[in-house]
Amino acid sequence: MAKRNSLKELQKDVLKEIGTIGAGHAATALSQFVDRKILITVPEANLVPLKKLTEVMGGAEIPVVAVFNKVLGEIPGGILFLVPSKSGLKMVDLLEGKNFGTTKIIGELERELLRQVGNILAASYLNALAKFINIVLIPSVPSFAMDMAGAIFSSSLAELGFQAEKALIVETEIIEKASRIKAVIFFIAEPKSWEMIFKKIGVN
Amino acid sequence: MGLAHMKVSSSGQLLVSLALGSCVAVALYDNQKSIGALAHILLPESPTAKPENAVKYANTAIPYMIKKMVRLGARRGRIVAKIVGGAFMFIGSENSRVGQRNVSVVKDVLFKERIKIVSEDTGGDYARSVFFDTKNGKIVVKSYAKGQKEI
Repeated sequence: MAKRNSLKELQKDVLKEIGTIGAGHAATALSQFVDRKILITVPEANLVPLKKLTEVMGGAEIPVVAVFNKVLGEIPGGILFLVPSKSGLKMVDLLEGKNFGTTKIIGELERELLRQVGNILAASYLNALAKFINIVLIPSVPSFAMDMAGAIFSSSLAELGFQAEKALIVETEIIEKASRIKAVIFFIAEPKSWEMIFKKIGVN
Repeated sequence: MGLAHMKVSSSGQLLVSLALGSCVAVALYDNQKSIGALAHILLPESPTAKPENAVKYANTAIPYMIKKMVRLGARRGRIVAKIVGGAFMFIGSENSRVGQRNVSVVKDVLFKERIKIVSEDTGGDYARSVFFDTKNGKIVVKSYAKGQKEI
């Protein structure tokens, strides 16, 4: 039992490490994008059963902003970038260098901005993962949605169409000076892909 | 009620399915016996004849629901349907339009089973929650985009 726990801990550490590498790349890209210094940290990364996904966001009906990319290559799957709608507004403020509370609605321009940012984060994470295990992963065109968290999850799963049991959750914090915003990246892959990932890393 | 789950009730329960996106909620009802069933369907068609979870797919969920209702005393000929969901959630993708296909397969299967659709709230680009009152067969649909309506 202790052995299994330590294996899980080891896998968790590796997932967090990959997340941190991805966050580093994303922070560089994002800083260039807004021309200011932005930091991204990864407080937590973990594999979570699909049933628990909505809990992570605070409930099925919580309104969220989502960017979804299908992932092609050796590990077919999907990557979702999610922030609660309230944090989405803050994120627009942060990216545009405004005080929190300035942006009141997410309109056409704000959507485009969030889509870009979600895409940068998702692609950076994917790139880190692909490099870590030395495979090729290609994100497809990012799509955008803003609605109930549960509907975003189930629709993503339906888009993928395969049997998934777990998703990798990478919790991130986007930081600029004293401002912090939490965002979550979900990577959904088939069970056999997780086996392959852990095998390649050597923690299976 | 969770994703790819089904509930049947003959005791006037309120059956709830939260946050449908491209999924479709199928509600079947026998008015005389007040027996209702609600399923949260994820995909249009099962790749195998006997999937592990029949409720996940439209083509296997509906016959399964009918069977469960009849077992509780519903009469097949009296069962009617209401359907909700099947939205198009993601803007800007080379989308496979799962929602649209879900709705069309649900309608096909109901037609084959000779079950009449008495009302529906499907399509669009927004999420919905469904509250199905099996006392009277009424359904309230809630969404951020359109508020609340009864079907």
